[in-house]
Amino acid sequence: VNGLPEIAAVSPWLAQGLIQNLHALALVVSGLLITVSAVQNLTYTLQLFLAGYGLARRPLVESVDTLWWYYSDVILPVSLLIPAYNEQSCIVESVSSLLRLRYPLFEVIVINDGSRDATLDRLIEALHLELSERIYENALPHAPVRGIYTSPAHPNLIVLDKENGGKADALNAGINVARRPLIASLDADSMLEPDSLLRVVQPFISHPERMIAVGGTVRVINGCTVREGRIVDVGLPRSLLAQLQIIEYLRAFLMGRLGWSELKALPLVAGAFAVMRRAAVIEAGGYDRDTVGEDFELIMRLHRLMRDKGEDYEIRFVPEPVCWTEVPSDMCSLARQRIRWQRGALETFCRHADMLFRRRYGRIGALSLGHCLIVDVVGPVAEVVGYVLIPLFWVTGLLDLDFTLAFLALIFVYGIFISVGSLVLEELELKRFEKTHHLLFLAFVAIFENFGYRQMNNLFRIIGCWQFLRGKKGSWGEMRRAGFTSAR
Amino acid sequence: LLICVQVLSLALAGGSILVMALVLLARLFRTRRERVAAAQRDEARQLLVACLDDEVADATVAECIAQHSPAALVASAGGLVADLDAAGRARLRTVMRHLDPAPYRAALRSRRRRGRLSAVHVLSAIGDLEVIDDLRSMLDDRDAHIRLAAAKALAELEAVPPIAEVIHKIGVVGGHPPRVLFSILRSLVPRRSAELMALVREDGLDVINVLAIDALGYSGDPTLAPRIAGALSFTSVNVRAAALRALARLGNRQVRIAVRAALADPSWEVRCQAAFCAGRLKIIDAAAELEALLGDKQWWVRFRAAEALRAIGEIGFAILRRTSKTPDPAGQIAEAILEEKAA
Repeated sequence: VNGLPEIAAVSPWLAQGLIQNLHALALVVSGLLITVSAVQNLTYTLQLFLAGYGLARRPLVESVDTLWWYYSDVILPVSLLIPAYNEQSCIVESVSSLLRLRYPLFEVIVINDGSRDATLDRLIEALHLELSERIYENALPHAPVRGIYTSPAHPNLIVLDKENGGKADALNAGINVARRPLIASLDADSMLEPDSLLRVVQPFISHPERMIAVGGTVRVINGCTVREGRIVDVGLPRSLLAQLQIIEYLRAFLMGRLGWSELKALPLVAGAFAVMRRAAVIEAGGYDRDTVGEDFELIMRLHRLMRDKGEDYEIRFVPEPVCWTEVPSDMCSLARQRIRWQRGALETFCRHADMLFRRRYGRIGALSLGHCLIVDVVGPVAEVVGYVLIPLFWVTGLLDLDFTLAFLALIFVYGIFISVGSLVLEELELKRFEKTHHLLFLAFVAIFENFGYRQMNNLFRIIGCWQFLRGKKGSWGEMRRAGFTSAR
Repeated sequence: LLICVQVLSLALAGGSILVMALVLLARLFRTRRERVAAAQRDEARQLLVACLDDEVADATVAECIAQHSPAALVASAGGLVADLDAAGRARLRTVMRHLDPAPYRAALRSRRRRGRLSAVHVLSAIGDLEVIDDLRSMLDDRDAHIRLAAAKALAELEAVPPIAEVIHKIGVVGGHPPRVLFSILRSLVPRRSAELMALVREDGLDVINVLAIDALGYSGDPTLAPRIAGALSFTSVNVRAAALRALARLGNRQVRIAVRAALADPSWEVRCQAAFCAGRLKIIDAAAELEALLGDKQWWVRFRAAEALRAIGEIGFAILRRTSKTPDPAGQIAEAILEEKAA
């Protein structure tokens, strides 16, 4: 554009043609970018309203005492799988907390995936573990097991020590060793509420044959007060990054998961808190060891398997049971985590792209994978490109100010509606934040996360896209941790 | 269109902030109310615990009950029920009978699900003969959860209508009953085993057969075993598997011929349950069949067969030791089960 006067002096016809072409190009590009953002926002809005509808008509929530009275003698036994890699700071507290769960029949299987720190030693010492023998089915492949430990003091605890093979590999080993019909995958840095397991298996009790997987809500533990493996006070973290993630998790679980669950098109239950039918997981081939998004990939594979077989099945999300997890409070850990998530999403999308918009896969192909295409594949790139190009088009006079304002409105202003809307849903239906001033503070966080944090996350996702294109392989995601007792 | 996008975004964002402000305001008022309600519940719980003592006179109980908030009493009673045995629950009902059931009977017609469910809980806690018809009417409620709650309450009060009718009213989605229905039927078995037995019919629905057989398995009456063993000839895999689970629980070794035959069932789920049953009943005659199952295609069948051999004693151990010397899957499972025992 800057050189146009010179070109116009030589050939006015050429200059006019160039301007027209540039103008058309800018119009098409910005139109596309705005359309992608609008579709993304419309999807979020749909999820928000579906989540509101789902929360309003969800099964009545009974007190834990009543649940126990109802279900304790017909409950389905569960094997809790906790893959651990370098988790010495929190593993003992995490396992001790799980052993105190209020649930009639469960076993805890910790899988030490060749940790380089003292994870195994701490477990042996604190829980008085002894080397033992246990028969297990080699239904899924995994790296060799070095030893199985049990504890006379805790008959329902098994610790599996194996060579390093990644999280999916560790989970596969755990599934093999598990002997209960349901398996629950949990993160070692997470903590279940005492009644969470009782609540999360409710869909299996109501629909014992049809249900194959159920996910619960994951919330941020940073800032909460933990005593003897229990959350005694729900607080807010001091770190701004962790505060921002509270809203992000609310949006992802309360809005995203619940919205799609209402449409029976749930593409993902978080690996940090998922209960699945063991037989179905084995039939699907277990966790894929070649992806970093093993939870997303497994759920898509379960959908594919069931749809291919023409079975009546359901994968559901329930909002009440809560698993608390420690989120990154430093930039490096957050960046690593988000880059991994983005790579995992892209790997899963590419692996199952043939399901996209195919009739046989119904809502899963159209909604779940369509959503993944817009939000995970095209969305981040379109948004970052839009930040650069649309203002540039306006500055150079190729586009009206209205285009720039519309784009910014979709990104910044509409984003406020989605974030604040999720917080409103949380307060209307679940009311987990006990202190009013915390809620007020989170309302401000919900507004301001759209100015800076959202853009930073998109940058991480672009790096994730780049690493995916370069074919970078996955490993355990490492994070700097404070541990539960000092979660504050 | 561009202007529309801008205006819509601004309107939605502004609207959401306004709603958030209202929600925060509502929270301020609610916090105070909830604090009062929590205190009332604590007080009511203490009162109920005190009233559970048989020595407290009825008049005193009535007076105390009248002084407390019915809502708090009901909430506390709901919490207490789970911690009490049958006698305790009966005493709690005597205490709760001092509450006037009229408002709760009216609440059964509430449009709010929560209101109807609370009313079912209260009436169940009151447990008066007068409220039984009300609870029975709730078996026709449009909400499945409330129908189940009413059935559970009726079972507790020993006032369940014909069992087939209850199963029909609760409904079984896709032929799969909710597991609470199993619990309800199990609680009925001491008094209504004949009715449950009559439900087991070859031409009956699979789901009813499974539910009835499962409940009969909890009867503790070994004389029912031969009749349950009759279900091993039914065509449904689920029914045959349920029958074997029930037989394992009843512990009557008269059925060993039927169990041995089930070890050769074409369905692996049935073979697995049969092996488990053979182990539980220590059917020594089944050693040869169990040995054959050590080479079954399904890991769970091999595992249960090996466990059963270990359970039946020295004959089984001898088979396991012999088989463990072979390198095939049968040898592997036999070796593993012997090692596990040794450990």
